[in-house]
Amino acid sequence: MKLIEKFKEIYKYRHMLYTLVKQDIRGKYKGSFLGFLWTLLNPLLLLLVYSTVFQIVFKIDIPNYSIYLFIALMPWNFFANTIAMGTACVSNGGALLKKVYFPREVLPLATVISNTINYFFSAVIIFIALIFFSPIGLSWFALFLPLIVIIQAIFSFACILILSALNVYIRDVQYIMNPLMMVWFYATPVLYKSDMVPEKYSFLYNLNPMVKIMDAYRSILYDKTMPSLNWLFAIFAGSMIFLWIAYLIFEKLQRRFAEEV
Amino acid sequence: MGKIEIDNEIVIKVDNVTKEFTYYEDKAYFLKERLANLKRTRKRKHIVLKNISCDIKRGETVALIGVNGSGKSTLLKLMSKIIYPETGTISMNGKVSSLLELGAGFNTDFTGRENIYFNSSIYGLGKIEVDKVIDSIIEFSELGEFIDAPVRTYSSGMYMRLAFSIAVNVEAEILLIDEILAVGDSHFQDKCLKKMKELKARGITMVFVSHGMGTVKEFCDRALWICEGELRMDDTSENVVKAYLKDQGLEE
Repeated sequence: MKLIEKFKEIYKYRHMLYTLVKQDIRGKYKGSFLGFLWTLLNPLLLLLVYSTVFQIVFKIDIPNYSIYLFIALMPWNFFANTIAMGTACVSNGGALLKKVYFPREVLPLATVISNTINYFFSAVIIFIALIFFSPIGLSWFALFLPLIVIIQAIFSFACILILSALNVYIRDVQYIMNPLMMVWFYATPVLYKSDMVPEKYSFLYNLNPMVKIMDAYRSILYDKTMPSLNWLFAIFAGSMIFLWIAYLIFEKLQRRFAEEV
Repeated sequence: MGKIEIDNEIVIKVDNVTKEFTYYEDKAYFLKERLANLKRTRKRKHIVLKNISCDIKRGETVALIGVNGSGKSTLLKLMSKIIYPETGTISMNGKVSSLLELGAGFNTDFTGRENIYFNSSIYGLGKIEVDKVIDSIIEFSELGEFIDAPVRTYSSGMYMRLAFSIAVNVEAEILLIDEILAVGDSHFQDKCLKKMKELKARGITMVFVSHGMGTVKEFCDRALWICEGELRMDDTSENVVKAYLKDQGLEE
C-alpha cells in the first residue's frame, strides 16, 4: 500500500485512535490527581536512589545533580515505557485483531501518542522542580522541548513498529527487551554526562540516537543553551528513514497477525 | 417479493483467491521451544479455499452455504481483510461492517455503553455521531439497564445482541455476518431478520453465512455453495438450496 493511502486510512480511523489514547491515559490515572502522582512514584523513587548513590557514594562532580538527573530520567522513563508497552501492544490486542479490521499501525501509534501526552504532563513536574526546587530556573530555550520530544517519539514509534510485530511471532521479544533496556539505559547519558565517555569510544557511543536526544534536553533545561540543531536534524532525518524501514517490516509481518496472535 | 433496483456496480470482487493455513502440531511461541522443536515441529498445510472467484454487486444479498469446515467463515474473514489470501486478490468498494464468529472484539472490562463508543469508533464514527445513534443501538439490543454493566457479565445472547446492534447501526455499505441467527432467542432472531430486510431495502450489500436454508431461500437473492474449499455452485438462492439439500440427502 502506498504511503499516502496509509496516511489517509489512518486518518479515517482517527476516532479509534482517539478512543484508544483516551482509554490508555484514563486507565492510567482513573480520572484522579492522585492517580497521576502514582505514576510519578517510580521515577521519583529511582531519582532518590540514584542521586543518593551517585552523590554520596560515587561523589559525582556535577552541581545540582538531582535535577540534572531528573531532566534526563523523565524522558528516559518515557522512552522505556513506550518500548515496554509498545512491544506488547499488538499481541495484547488479540481479541480485537481477530474480529475487526482496522489498520494495525493504529495500536503502536496509540501507544506512542498516549506516552507522549503522559510525558508532557510530567514535563510540568520538571518545570516546577527547576523553578522552585533548584537555583537553575527556566529559560526561553525550554521552548525547544516539544521539538525534542517529537523527535524522540518518532524514533520510539519506529522501534515499536518492529518490536510489536516481531513479538507476535516470537514472544521472547518482550522478555529480551527488559535486560536490553537496562543496557541501553547505561549506554545513554542519564546518570552521567555524555562527555565523560572517552574520546576513543565516541563514534560507537554516538550511534545511540538517545545520546544526543538526552544532550539536547540537558542543553535546553540544565545548561540553558541552544541545543545542537545539527544533531537534532540528523537524528530526525535518521529516525524518518528508520521509520520508513520499520513500516515496511510491519506491513510485511502484519498480514498474519490475526492467525498468529 | 419487491425487487429493489440493483445497478451493476461490483462492490466485492474476489479474484482467484487461495488461502491456506499452516498448522503446527505444537505451536512454538517461544524461542526455546522453537529451538528444541527444530527438527520435530511438524507443519501441516491445509488448503482452506481453492481458486475462489466471485463478483458481488451493490445491493445484492448473498448467502454462503456449506457444511462445517468448508471455508465459508474463512471467506468472510478474507472479505473483512482480517486475514490475507496466499494468492489472488479481494477488493472491497465501500465501508464494511462485519460480525464474525461470535464476537466483535469487545473489551470485556468496559461497560456495554463504552464498548458501543469504542466499537463504533473503529467503524469511523466519532463521539458526536455515536451520540446520535446510541439510543437506537441500546433500544435495539434490548439490554436495558445492563448497558452500563461490564460486558464480562453478559450472557452470550446479550453479547451477540449488542454486537449485532452495533454492526447494523454504523451506516456501513457492506455488511458481513457470520451465523448471527444461530444465537439469540427466536424473538431476537425475528428482529434481526426484520432489520436485515430493512437494510436490504435500503440497498445495502450483505454477505452472510447461514445454515438456515429457509432463511436463505426467503431472504437472499443469491447463494454461493462452498464445498471443501471450492466454489461448487453460484446461482439464485432457490436453486442452490435445492441442490445443496439434495446433496445432503435431505429433500425438501
